[in-house]
Amino acid sequence: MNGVFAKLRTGLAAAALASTALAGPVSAQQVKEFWHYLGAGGELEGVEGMMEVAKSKIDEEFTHRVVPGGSAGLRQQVQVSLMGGVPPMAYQVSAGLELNQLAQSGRLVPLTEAWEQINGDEIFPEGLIQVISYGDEKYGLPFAMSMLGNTWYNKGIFEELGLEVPTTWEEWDEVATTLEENGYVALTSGGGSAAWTIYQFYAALFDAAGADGYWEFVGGMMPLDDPRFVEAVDLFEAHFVKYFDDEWTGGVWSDGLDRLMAGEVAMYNMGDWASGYMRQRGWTPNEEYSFFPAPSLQNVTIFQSDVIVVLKGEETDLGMKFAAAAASPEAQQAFNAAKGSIAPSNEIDPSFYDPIAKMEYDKLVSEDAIVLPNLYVLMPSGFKEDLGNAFTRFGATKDRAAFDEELARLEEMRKEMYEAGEFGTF
Amino acid sequence: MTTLNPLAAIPFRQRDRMTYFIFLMVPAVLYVAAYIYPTIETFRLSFFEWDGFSPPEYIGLENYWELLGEPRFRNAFFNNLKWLVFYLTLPTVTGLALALLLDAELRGSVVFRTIFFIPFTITTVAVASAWRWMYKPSNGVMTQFVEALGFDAPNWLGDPSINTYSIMGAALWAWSGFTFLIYFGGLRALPTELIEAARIDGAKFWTILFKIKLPLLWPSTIVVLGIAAVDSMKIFDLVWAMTQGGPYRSSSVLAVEMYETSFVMFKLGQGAAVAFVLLVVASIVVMPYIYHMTRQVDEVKE
Repeated sequence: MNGVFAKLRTGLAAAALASTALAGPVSAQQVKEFWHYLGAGGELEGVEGMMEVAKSKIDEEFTHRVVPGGSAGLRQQVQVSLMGGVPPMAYQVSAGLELNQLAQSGRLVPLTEAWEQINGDEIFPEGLIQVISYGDEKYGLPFAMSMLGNTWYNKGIFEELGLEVPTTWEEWDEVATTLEENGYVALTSGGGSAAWTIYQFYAALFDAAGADGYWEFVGGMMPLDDPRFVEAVDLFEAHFVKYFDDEWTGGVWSDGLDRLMAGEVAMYNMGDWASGYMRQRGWTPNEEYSFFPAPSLQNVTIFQSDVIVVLKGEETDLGMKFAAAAASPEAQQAFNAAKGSIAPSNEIDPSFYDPIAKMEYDKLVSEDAIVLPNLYVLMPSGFKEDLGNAFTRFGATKDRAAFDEELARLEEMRKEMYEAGEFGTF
Repeated sequence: MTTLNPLAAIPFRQRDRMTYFIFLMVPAVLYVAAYIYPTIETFRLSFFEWDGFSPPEYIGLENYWELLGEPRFRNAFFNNLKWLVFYLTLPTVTGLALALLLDAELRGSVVFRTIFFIPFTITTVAVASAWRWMYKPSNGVMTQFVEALGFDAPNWLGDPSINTYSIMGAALWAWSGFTFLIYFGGLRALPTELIEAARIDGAKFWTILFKIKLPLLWPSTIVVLGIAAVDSMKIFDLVWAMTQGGPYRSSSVLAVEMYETSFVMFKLGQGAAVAFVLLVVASIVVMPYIYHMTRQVDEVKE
């Protein structure tokens, strides 16, 4: 019997050792590949253009691989490849808390040297630099940006009713009321993700708390009963929630655009991938549709960015060379021209942008521009999903009392997570 | 003279056992590697906090305590119970009704048999896509149908009070083909002399159904209910493809919570805890079925 227990103990110890070894950093035999989830038409074409430029700059063989399943699918694959000891030299990450945590995990190579070579401090916007830095090091090189906080609108409806794009909350209310009086859905939201409704809150938060307050909120330092946050919720309720229709919860984000293109919905606050969607379906930018910044965001650009990170391993040098090459103006132009997104570098020639992207680019590089990251990707998991779901429920039910009750619960969660150091430092 | 076959020295009975052993080793090794080991590893992981990249940190039962305090977990668990009740009743009754209908030798029954079974052959994601279209709030077929009848159509997938039932509608359409097939096969295998004798004795349709057919169909019912119970616990793909558990987690189930916790929030330890709870709940639900089936096998042996 003792022998059996001894064998069992040995087996368990071996299993524990094996799994610990799997979890810890491994001396990786890296594959010379850049992994990403950019598999759709324009995206893939963009990656291929970027690879072509990178290959012309580096005298070594390497390639790319599309991993299905979006960011979650890619992360799973990278995790598994690290356990198996054959990770890629580099992969795509959305700049935010995930990048911050990856930097802390010790898996990533600091890219500060490459950053300095390409003069990153001069060519990338300040808000972007903040979210790819950890301590004194840079851990990602950005290659694309998408903008949020803009309201897309059906130009035909605006022209029919003689409406001008609003620049203040008062004008916003006048436009929305006129639209409703004429039988249109003034504003819709996006179903299918906890993120779409909270994205629309950023304009109100910025209005009430400014850029400093925005960063405070991102860092978990602003209580959810702070007067600035309460004022932001009031603004959001008065200018967004009030006008939301009651259908969007049953659809996905693109359903809102389908309804906008069908002339049913007049305005929809969504990321700039909305433009790509409408263009793909045959609409011409600035003719059938356009966008305007939500009031309070006239000179504010809210973005999310894709960056390249390099994993520690035997192909680290090649990974660093690749990341630097992908951050070059030619590579950024090749990628973003095909995808229809905005290049983070200010060294590119903006002539390739379509009219919508050009408007976004001009706003991004204007002298008084304030550039802020999408706060949703900067907040810790668990908290952000619950907060996003609370906003979605509020947008759908318009029940402020229930929302306030949920915010009180989330405030407890925020305090605990803040004290545990789970919010990022940017 | 020496033999060339080294096995010849081994007694026949021992050789026989060795053959059994070798043949049994293959599935046993596969079972241990593909099921037992991952289950133990998942259970072990549930005591850790791990994001998949940083070193895991042992936190004891904290993941389980956190789950118990999470409204989203309780909601998902409750939705699984709804799915259990649904799977055990509606598709079973629908499949049986369709099978009884076609067993009556209607004209064109071969065509109907095919029509009823086809939905079961369609992949779940395709079923989900088709039903998403039908449930679209403004122009979906279901919406327009209800409006044509003069009623206000509900927001099928967007209203938290009904969206789980709407997804069940899609599941009913797809799953009834399977229950139909099992019952139809069962009905065709019933001894006709019993039914004929009952008819000659003046038994009516309902008497024949409840006194003869349904008792004789018990083995088919056991198969249907057993598989339905398993499916109700592991339901994921249809819910994920139709609503991703939303809006605001209202249609979520335990498998969706497991996926979200592990691969969206990157809390792999807590995701493992959800997985283990799901395994325990599923075992409790499925155990009576396993017990019944094992007893039947034992009876056949005797």
